Amino acid sequence: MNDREVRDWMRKLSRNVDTAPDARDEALLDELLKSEPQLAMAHAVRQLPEDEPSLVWRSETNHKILEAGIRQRQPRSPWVWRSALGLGLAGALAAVTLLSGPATIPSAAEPHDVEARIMRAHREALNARLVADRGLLVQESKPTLSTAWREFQWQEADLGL
Amino acid sequence: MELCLNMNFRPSSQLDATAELALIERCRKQDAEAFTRIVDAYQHRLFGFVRRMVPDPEEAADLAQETFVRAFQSISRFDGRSSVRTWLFRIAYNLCVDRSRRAGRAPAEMRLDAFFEDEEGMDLPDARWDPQGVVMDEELRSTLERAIAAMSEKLRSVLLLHDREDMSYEEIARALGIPIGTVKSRLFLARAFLQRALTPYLLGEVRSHE
Repeated sequence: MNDREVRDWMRKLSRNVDTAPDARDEALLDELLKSEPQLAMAHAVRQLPEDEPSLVWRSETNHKILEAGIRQRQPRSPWVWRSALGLGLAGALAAVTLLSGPATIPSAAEPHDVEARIMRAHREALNARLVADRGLLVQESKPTLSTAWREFQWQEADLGL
Repeated sequence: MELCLNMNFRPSSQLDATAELALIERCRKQDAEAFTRIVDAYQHRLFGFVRRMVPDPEEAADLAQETFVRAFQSISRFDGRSSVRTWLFRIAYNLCVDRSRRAGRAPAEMRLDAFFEDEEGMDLPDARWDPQGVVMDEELRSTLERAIAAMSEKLRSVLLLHDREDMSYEEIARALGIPIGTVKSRLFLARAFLQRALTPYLLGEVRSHE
């Protein structure tokens, strides 16, 4: 390749830094990367002094690594447990409310029981009244007329007959 | 946060593969102390990489820290298919890219096609460049750092991982999630970019020595 062709080739290469070169270009690159100017640049870069991190930096790094280790060793963070506990309590409370709630509220689920209670209460009240009256049941007592009734039973004389 | 820049090259203590695997096993059990040994081994390299990827030194320090913390937190997902080094640099690179996106800053990218349109500024490979002839002094160092900071994140990351971290093309491709051919073309363009930035300095040096 002459100079002009090399320049064109380098321009093409610089426009495509994100794409891999084809086999021909790669072979040319292998050759050029070993050229003296390229090696001189590599040599210069290698000679640059090494940076030394400060002791403060190192100490901070150790501290952060230890912190990260402690965080990872904890099985779960406390906030996870706290929310889980809160959710559990709320669920238990909801279950208790739902299960015990309907028993205290009258419902149509037991109509016979209510009717039976009303009937029983009625009979007891009736019996109590009968017993308290004359100490006999209705069936046991002979029909008698009260004084007041007798007063209203007109005699023939009363009628002038 | 204070950044100490050491001009003397000091290689990081590297772990051998067996020791590294043993440490990773301990880290999986959330052994923070074992992980600090991995930090010891990679902190200098990773810190330098992030510092050059992110212009603000404090932000860079925070991101380097975040890289290690994230790595420790997700160590259980490390499958061992890549090396710890590749894995750490991948996390660091992703954090740097995320930071740019979050800040709404498209990485300070220079349009390369426009750069190479300029025929005058195009330096073709030639024999005048002697790799061993490049002597690092303060002026060259700052010129080089400025040129690295001026190139796009795409080129910069590949350049730093290959020429500073000695990663292979395959490792870089894995770390950045791009094809190997793309790694090569980006590396070539990054070095060409540096070559252009350093030409006035190096040619001036040559003339002054003549």
